[in-house]
Amino acid sequence: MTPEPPARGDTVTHGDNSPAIGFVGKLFLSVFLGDFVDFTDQAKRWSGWNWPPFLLVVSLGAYALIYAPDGPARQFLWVHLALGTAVALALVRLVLPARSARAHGRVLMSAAAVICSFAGVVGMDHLADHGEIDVTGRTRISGGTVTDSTVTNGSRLRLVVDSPADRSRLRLTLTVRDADKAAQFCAPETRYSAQLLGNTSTRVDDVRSGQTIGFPLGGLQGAIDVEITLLTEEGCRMNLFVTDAVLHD
Amino acid sequence: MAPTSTTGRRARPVPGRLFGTVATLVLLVGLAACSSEEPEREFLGVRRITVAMHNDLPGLSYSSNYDRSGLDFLMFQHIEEEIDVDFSEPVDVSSGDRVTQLIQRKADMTIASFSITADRMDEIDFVGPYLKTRQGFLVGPDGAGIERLADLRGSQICTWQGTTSVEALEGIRETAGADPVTLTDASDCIEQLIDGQVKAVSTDQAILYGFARQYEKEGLRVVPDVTIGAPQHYGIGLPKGHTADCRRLASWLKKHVGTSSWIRDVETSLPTLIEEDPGWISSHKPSAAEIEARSCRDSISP
Repeated sequence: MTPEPPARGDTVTHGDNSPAIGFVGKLFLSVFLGDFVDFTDQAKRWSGWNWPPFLLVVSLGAYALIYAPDGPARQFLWVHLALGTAVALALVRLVLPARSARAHGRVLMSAAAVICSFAGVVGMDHLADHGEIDVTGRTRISGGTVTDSTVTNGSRLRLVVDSPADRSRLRLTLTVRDADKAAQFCAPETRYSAQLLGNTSTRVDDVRSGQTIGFPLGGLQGAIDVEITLLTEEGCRMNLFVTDAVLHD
Repeated sequence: MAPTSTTGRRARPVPGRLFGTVATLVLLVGLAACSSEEPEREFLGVRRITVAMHNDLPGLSYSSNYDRSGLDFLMFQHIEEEIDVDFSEPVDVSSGDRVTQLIQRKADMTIASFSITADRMDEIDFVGPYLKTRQGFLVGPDGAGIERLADLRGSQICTWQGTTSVEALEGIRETAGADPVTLTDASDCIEQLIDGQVKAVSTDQAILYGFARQYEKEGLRVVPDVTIGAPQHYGIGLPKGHTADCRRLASWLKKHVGTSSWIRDVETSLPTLIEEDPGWISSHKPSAAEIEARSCRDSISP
């Protein structure tokens, strides 16, 4: 007797373990792609099979967020965007009525959600190794007048970053303001020079308040130590503080 | 039967019509010009500017028998020529009232040896500086031997209220062991110096040189090369909220300080300063960059 030809969409297997291979393959698809339209009649009736891809996406997203490194928020933008897209897609796939979308569309939706969440995890991992590290809160300046922390023309200060040089460069922005606001306005002409302690090749001169400068940290061992020399008009009393200090590659 | 003409009137030739149209337009424009008054000009939101000035600082802003003189007054005259609006007669202002008068709009502009400071910039706008100076010391016949800051140890030094000199002088107790005294106004300090009640008067050298010249017979002199505090930048004070007018004035000032007129004004007003400090232009003349950095700023941030 000739067997009936398989219906469109059905899978035909042959051999001793053929049914098992078909079952496992479909289960895999179901778990990772959430598409169980062709699985079994029982599965079709049990909507719980929709949940595995959603839970997978949420788990990956949670993992990425828990292990997110410190750093400026802007560098996490694309990672958060990928994770957000993944969750949104998985959620839509979950709540979408089975008959309202074609099987291929649902498969693509699930696949895109899983890919986005993996991309988010990989991106977060990359940022942990190479992303920017905000060390503004780990900097301290010493060397100003002890009583009121003001600095004058020619004052030499030391800016120490209490963090290992985990990246190849340091980006620094300092702000210089008038200490005696009632008696002067010296800020416009005030400048400073800066260099990594003991490394004259890194010297940067004529830096204005609010201007961003960078230092290469290649091969630096231990704490980052920057020497700053203030240049202002005689008699001006200034305050100097760190606005932004970021380690980056 | 004689033929009948079909046209009622003959059309006027083209040049005639053109002339008529132009004549009518000219007449209409003329009538419109006569019927509407020319709009009055405004500066700083008013049609008549009131300028506040000192009246007791010889060389900078001095008034005697309703006759004003000094560098600030010359600056006022230049501005009066530059800005095409009416100006009232200047009103007097004390050092302590300069900011308040502008905020309360009792004056629209202040030209009164008005130092630009970060605090004042929060409340008013400045156009300037038009002169730079430093805080120095004026001594009398009793202070003939005073040549250094250390020579003032143990003596009383006078300044007056409402000036930046008060802040700078506060530190002299620690740096020179002198005793600062703050009186109501400049004339009080000068009287006490002449009477020998205080050893020195301390404020901006530009002001002190004016007093030194006026009280030359009494033996007052400025101690050369002895200064304290930060450089002072004299600006024209304006109420906030008139950025376009402020920028216009700043643009004019940048050009003005580069002219011989500015040099002549200082030479005329402060001859003693010129005599005592041959390099006065480099130390007292502001640059265009300094004017740009301090004029019409809403924030002191870089």
